[in-house]
Amino acid sequence: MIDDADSLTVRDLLEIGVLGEACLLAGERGVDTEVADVRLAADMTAVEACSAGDLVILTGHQPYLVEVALRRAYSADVRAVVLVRPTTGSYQPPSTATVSFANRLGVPLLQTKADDPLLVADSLRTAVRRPEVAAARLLNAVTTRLGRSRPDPRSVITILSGELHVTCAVMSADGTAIEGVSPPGLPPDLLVGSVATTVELPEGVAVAVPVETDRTGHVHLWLVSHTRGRNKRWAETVQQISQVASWALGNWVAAERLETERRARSRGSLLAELLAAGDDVPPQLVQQAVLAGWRLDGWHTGVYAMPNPPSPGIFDASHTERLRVELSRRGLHGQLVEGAEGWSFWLTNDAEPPQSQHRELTAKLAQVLSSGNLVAGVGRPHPGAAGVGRTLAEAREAAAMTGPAKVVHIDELGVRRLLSMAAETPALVEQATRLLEPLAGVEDGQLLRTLAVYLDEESVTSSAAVRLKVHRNTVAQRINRAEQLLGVSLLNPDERLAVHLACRAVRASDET
Amino acid sequence: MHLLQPDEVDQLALGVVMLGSGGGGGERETHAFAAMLRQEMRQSGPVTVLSPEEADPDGSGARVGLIGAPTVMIEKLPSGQEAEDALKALQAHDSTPATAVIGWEVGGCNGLLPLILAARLGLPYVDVDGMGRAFPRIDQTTYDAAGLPTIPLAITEPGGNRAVLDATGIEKLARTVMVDFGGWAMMVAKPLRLADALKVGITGSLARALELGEIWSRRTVSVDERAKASGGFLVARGKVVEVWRESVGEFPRGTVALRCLDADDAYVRLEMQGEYLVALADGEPLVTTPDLLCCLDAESGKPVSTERLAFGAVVDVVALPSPARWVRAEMLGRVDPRAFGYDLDYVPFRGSP
Repeated sequence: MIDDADSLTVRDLLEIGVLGEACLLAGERGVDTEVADVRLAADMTAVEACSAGDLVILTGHQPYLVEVALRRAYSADVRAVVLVRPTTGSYQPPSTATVSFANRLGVPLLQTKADDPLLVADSLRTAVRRPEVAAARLLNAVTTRLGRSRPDPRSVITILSGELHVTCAVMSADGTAIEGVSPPGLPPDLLVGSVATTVELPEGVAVAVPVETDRTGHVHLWLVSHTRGRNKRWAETVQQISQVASWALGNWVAAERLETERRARSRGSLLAELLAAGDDVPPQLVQQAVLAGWRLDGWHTGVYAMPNPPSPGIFDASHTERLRVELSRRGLHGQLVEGAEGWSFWLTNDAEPPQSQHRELTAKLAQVLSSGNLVAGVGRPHPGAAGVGRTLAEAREAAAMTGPAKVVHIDELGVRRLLSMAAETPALVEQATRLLEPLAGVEDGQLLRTLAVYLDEESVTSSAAVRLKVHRNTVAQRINRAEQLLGVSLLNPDERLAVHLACRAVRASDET
Repeated sequence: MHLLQPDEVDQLALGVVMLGSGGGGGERETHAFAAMLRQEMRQSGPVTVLSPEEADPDGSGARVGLIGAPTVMIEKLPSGQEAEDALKALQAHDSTPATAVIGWEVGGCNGLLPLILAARLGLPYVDVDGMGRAFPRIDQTTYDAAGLPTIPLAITEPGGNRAVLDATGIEKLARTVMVDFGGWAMMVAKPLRLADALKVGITGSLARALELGEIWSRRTVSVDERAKASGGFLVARGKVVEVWRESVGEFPRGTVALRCLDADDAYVRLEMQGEYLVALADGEPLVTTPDLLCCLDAESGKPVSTERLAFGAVVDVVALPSPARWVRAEMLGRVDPRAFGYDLDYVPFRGSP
């Protein structure tokens, strides 16, 4: 028994928690000796009856008794002396003299707290003599508790740490602890595999069991338990019980995911109905919207976000959730609904929002969408239940017209649309080309480019010079030349508008 | 025959305190009684102390003892009349006349009380007592072990209250009365026939007290040598690092850890109740009751009683052998560590280690 690698040492017994709230008072030198049996001693005769390899639980705690017991324990090669501190009543903790004596002998002196020393003896003896029974008891306790509560990461961790005296964490594959505390010194490659693994740490052993695996065999979620005991059999027990707990967690993941999906779908269809209802929203629809937590009164400002170029694969609950988090992080707390091609989002204000809001909103949205391929359109604020549909329709329209910009407000769209119409009208393009003919090919198109920039910059020479990275005299001189070649004066508003429009039309047609 | 002179009283007082094993009333209380004894001797002359052989076997000897806490006497002073009153009260119930005074408990202040009574009544003191040291209980006497009667028992206190008890379970009854009498009281028990008392009692205990008093007043001699001269040994010189007392059960009990001054990280533990009862070193019992343990202040050389031993004190722990009569197998059960609730057997007294 003594040479069996599976035997528990005094340290193991302390670390696996069978001693309850135990502490080592003295005799650390002896904690790595293996315990063969456990005895309960009420008097000296019982202590004398102990044999080598035993662990003695002393029911008395008078200092002289403890010291005499330590001496006899030492001469009988007893592995440790355990004192049981009653939860009520008087107790004299071992004195300096006793601790010093135990240290000199190298006999571990332990103290635990319990009402009945017999219970301590029972759990210790089972752990030492019949570890499989101890493991079964623990498994029983864990499954009973798991069955009693609706398992989620927090409760599973509470149950495991309570029963097994381990520290637990539910971790994602990248090593982030979603719940609980990641054990210190956890090797990063522990979570790359797909099967339960046990690894030795500087302090004890960590056991990682997969919670959720996708079709490719990649594990998304791990349950990691860290026990301070190094005993092999104990690590196995922890792994087995963690395995059971991981099933409960897998169950939780599935339920949670189902719920999220269901919610997303019902919201999507609710919004579709709302949009279809137009100005006349039926009461039952209003009721459903309220149940979904939507506010229909007040002024709504709609946003429509969609991928550009379109990529249909990205519409799932996790993307929606990420977007929601990103939005709320920037102070945009509204309703987000996942659709077939993009996300509808709207903010609700009590009164009509000031004009300034839309610039602020556009800026924030630009931050949200700065990474990734999403673009968004923003609608005008509209009041009431029907307003939701109206503002979202505008937002959707704007989103379709973003062009190179990330975020576009519907109000900006008028000008753009005019210009895009200009580019799309062949007669106008022809006229424009003819108007700007004299500049074609002159100085490698430089005159034409300077002219376009100059007009875009509201005919301010210095601003155009900055954009073109030339001296402003150069700009002035080029503009003079262009005026001469075209035979127009840019001081004349009609001629300037015509030339500006022609520049835009030519550029738009070049781009398309 | 020995005429005890007033100038021997101080030595005698030291001797009885040594025999007290830390109990039976401390050094200060005993010296208060020593002063009373001297005063009585000045008025009535020296006390005649008869050795066992000189005593008349057919005479009868009265026993006197103090019950309760000697420390209470600081607040509740004795009148000096209590023992005499008690004897008178007893004689009203029991016709046995007292022709002598004998000892009951030689250890502590109870070693001096019979002498005060003897001086007062002009009776001789016969050198015999029931303990040969100090013990807390009335039944812990060789008289009681031999079946000699303790009742009727008269109890008095300075206020003039008196009670004569004639019942079994005298220990509990006497203590109840003592508590109601105010913390301490004087007891006089039925006089014993001197032949019986001398047969079962511990003889020569007063002579032993005088001998110890003489040895331990030699301050120039080392403690070690004085201990050897007394037939015992020095257990350790140590500093008190822990004192822990609790009042559960009949008597207060406590435990003291002394860190030995002559060795690193070595401790001696003393278990005490009214008296020092067991000395252990490293979980090994060295000295056990009924052998005697005395703590002497390392600086002043004065004995330190159990209730005065405090944290930080530096003391010499001295072991002295028990009177031989207690160490017999049939007697040990009354006074060995188990009789005081310790899960330890008596360890035969050994000489100097």
